[in-house]
Amino acid sequence: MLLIPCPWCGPRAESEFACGGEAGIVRPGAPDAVSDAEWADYLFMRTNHRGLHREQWWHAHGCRRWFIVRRDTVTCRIDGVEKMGSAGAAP
Amino acid sequence: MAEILRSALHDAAGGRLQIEEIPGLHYVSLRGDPAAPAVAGAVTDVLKIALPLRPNTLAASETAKVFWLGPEEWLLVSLSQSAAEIVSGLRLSLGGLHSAVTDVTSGCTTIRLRGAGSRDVLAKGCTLDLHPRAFGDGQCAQTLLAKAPVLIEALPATQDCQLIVRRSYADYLWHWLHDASRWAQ
Amino acid sequence: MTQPARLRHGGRINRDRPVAFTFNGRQYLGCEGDTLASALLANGVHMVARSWKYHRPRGIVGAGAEEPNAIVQLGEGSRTVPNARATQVEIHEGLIARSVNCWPGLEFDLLSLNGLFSRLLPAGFYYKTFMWPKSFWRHYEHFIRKAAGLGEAPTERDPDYYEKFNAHCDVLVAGAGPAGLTAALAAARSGARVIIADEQSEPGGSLLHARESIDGLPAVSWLRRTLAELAAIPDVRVLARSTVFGYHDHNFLAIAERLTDHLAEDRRRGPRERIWRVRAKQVILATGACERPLVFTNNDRPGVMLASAISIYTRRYAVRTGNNAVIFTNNDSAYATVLDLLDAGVRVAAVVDAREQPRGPHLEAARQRGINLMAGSAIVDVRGRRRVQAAVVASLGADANGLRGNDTTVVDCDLIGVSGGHSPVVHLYAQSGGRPLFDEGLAAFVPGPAVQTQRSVGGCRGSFALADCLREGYEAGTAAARETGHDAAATLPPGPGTLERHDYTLRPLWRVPDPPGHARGARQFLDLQNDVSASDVLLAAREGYHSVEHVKRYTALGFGTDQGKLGNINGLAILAQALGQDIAATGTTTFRPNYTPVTFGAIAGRDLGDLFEPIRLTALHAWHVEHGAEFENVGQWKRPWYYPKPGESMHEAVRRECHAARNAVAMMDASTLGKIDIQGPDAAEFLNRVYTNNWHTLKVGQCRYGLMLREDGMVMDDGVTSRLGENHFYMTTTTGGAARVYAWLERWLQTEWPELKVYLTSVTDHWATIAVVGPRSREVMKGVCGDIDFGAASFPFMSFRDGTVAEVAARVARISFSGELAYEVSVPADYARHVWKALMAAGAPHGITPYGTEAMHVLRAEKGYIIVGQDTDGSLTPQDLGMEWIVSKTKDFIGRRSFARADTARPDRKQLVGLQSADPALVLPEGGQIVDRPQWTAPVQTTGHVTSSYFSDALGRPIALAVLQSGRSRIGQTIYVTLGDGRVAPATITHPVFLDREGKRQHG
Repeated sequence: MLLIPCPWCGPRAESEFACGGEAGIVRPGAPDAVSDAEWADYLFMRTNHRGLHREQWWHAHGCRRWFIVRRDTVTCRIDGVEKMGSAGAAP
Repeated sequence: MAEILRSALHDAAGGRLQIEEIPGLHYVSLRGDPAAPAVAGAVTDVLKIALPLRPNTLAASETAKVFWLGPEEWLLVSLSQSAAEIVSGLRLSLGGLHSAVTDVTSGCTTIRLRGAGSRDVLAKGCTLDLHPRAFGDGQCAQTLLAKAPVLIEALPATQDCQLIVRRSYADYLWHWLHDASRWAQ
Repeated sequence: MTQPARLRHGGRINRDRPVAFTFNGRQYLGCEGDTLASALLANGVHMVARSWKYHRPRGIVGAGAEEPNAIVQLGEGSRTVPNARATQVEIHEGLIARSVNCWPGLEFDLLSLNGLFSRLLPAGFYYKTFMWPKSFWRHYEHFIRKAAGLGEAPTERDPDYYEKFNAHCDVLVAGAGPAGLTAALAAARSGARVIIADEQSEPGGSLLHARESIDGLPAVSWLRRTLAELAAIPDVRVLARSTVFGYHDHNFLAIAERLTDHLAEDRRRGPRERIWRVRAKQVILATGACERPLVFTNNDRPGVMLASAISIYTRRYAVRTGNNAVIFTNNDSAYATVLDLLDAGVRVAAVVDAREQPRGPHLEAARQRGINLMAGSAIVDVRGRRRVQAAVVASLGADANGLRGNDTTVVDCDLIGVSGGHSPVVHLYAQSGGRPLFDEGLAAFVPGPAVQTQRSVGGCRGSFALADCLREGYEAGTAAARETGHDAAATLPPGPGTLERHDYTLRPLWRVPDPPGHARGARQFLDLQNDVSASDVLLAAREGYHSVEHVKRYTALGFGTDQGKLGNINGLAILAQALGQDIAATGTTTFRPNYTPVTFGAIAGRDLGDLFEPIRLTALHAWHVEHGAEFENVGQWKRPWYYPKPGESMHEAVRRECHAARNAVAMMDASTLGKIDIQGPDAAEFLNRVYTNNWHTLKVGQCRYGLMLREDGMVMDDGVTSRLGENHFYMTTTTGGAARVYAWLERWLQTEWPELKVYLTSVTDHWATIAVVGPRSREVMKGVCGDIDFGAASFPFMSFRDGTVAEVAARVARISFSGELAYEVSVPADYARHVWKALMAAGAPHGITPYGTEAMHVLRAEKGYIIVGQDTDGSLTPQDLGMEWIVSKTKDFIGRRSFARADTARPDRKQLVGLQSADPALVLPEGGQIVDRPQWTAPVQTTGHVTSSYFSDALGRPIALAVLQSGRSRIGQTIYVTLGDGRVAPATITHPVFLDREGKRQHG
């Protein structure tokens, strides 16, 4: 079970959290302006990256904040976390 | 008229551990921007308590407590003032500031665990480090106890703890605590 | 009932406390402190099992978790335990054990004939023999299962209590041998929070049988002193009978503590086992090493044991394991066993040492005592069947791959102690994510770099000398404590000054050459539990299996309770040799949790019965129970399903409840709906984005139904939202979707639209909601509420009023999930019972009837109202459901863009329709698949399925909802619903609204 450092509450057991998948998936500002392929990309396509990966987590049973975890998908090592809206943190 | 879930004192482990519900408390949820002075000001106005800004801490007076739940969220618990009074007082004090004050009294209850084995019973279903060094005076935490969401409060200078539980989970949690304390030391 | 092989003196058993136990139906006496294995050996019992494939006689080999043969079934009835290692079972008064693998009996065994036909059962014999012809498999399977049986699970309910405990510490030490103890001591002296766990009945590991002294004290005295010091330090927990069985991510480790199995049944109190779930800042692994056997012909005969096991039985358990021993070794450690045997008065007929020029401190000590040393030699064969009778010794060639000539010497003996070197127990290190490295000098895999905050010390690191273990442990404990912010105690390491460094000087010997005239590797056993011999591995290599993982699965090497703790290293070395590559390149199989088997009881803990999952109750639950409700699980909630009167069937009760709702008045507890309080200047805009319809136009005091989609355009939830104020809304969600919707809304607010000024607060538990439904509902409401004008025009459909219901401040909404005139009364849950009773009383003259979820379903299905999650499955758009009317064309919202995707726009999508069964008595089965023709043979393309199906009281016939390809354009056609038994039921496709399509009744 991972130990996830919530940027507000500190390290907590994974059972308190829900994973929201890859971070940085930006909703197109004008959905009608994008092609079906681009929209499908936004909906379905994820990098499934091997190595360091930014992903959204929700502290569901804690402070109920969404935030970003940088986790190595091979070793599960957590490199760091970012609050939403902090510098450079695309959601 | 209010229905109380449990009022009987529950003696587990031959009286070394007591589990009881604390009825009659009033609960109000407050959401607002901690950077806005009016938010802290409103709480001070109404409850005479400084708004806790440090995560997982609470501030208390003789008659009320304010728990930090999130960076923009607090739970106010009062022994004396009614939720309606607190809600209207806060709203008045906050004026038009973007915030949310919500009576959640009927949705919450408090269970107190007293006795040396209290934290060991909780540790059977809670992944937090409840050692007094890690979870002491003035600290609180939202977490899962068994499979129910709870807010745990460390009571000063003892092994004692209080749980604030959502109403619908209270019966399950009561049974779980009873079961977990069956062999408590 | 004497113990003929019990030594007169020594050992840690209590001769004054005899313990009676039963093994394979025969009564024996052991002593308090014995394991089942040591007690059997004390009674002269070596042969304890038959091997599973060839049914060869097998004896006790080891003294711990690695034991492959002495696998027993413990106890009887509900408490029986399969596959226990006799070497790890402490005896207690009344213990009953039997061998798990000796059908039809240990002494007389038909299946041992397999041994004569062993060439029929080589590696891969399943695949080669039993898979063809395919139709014969059922005959083979019976035979294989009969032959294989490894223990039996109890068939009765487990009567015991198992619990879990979450723990945190600065330093967790796995293993309380010399290295683990000094590690714990150093960390504890530094002030760190320490947990040290050891799988044996008492801590100490090798100290419990060590010959050495520490700090001038005999090892056991030093041990006693150290444990006393640890016990006196606060925040140190020493766990005996506790196996660290799993090392997971982020220093999360699992320990199984066995609390009562070592006690006689009448003395057991409290939990039987406890799983510790430990989060450690630092981990120190001190799990020691396993001695490994040597691979020679007939090395599986009872009486062939690990040399270290002989020492343990001799010194710790005071057992004479034989009278006339031969020791076969390739390193110095076995000479300690020679000394132990000589001390115990056992004759040592010969020491066969593979090394050309053996040396080492233990050897020198043994030489002083006079031993028959046969250097540069190996045991090539064993005589005797049920017990060793003699060892056949030959001279090894220079490269150990062959013999020097054909001369052999036969040495009579009844015990053979073997030492092929030691394998560090790197299991936990490997589980932590580390990759063991092969150390040529030790001829063993040792831990590589640490992946987590972890250190390996002592035997599990490849340091086999006591002095090294003590020193490494102390250093690691000091360092680990320092990293958790605890300054090291200024105490010197416990002084092993008098000890000399152990000179290991091992000569690797993976496979002893075959004796003259024998087939290659036959009956040279690697894995005794799975009957895998060297010839099996050689065959696998010849047949093209090069990956060690494939060879494992082809030969079964390393499966079973011991997971290859003894034989794997020999097997993969032999594989490497056969493939002409080095051992490092061959690698190991994966070390997975659990280190040793863990009972299901312990894994389940208290997650059983009513504690398995939270049972959420509404504030009205007690009333429902008092009034005889049957309950239905909806998510975690218990909801009243229907309220049968005495003698009433479910069907009758539901018809009565529906009848009341359509013709008089009925009421239901709707408190389980998810409820979210939404406040902020952007609240309306927020709702506009998450719902498909327009929310800016909703006036204060009004309610509106909303449909929430995922971004792919599929329906995810629905519910009614009320506008309480300009910036204040009250949303309801489905019962099952409440948590999901709340998380979803917070996610959009926090990650995508932080500019929106909106706060959400979950108020599900605060409000109780009571639906009052039916043409007489207005009269009932007037009876309990005097301050709301219930006039049809002044309080119209889809609006709400605040008022006082039975003296309680309440919100009354005029909304309907039944199509009838209906009100929903919301009050704080503390007042729910009072208000409910007042409504029942006010409704009594009108025949008010409480109804449950089943009647609710009938009522809503008659109206064609969907239940998200029942009529939808995450693959239906609003258009599929015929709900275009709620989809705005003038704004963006989550999911809208997806309507234009080719898949969501295609015309042959499944659409919601009604079905009318041709048989007026048949309620079509929910989930029934729909086919277009009455005659068909599988496989057939189905075109939809039944989602909801009930008997409608209002219509006097069954109704059903279904999703069906191009369904709306097929209304009037006949389709066929499969009944699951080969039959089909014809049904006509209809409009999904069966009753009051104009919606007059709810506006009444």
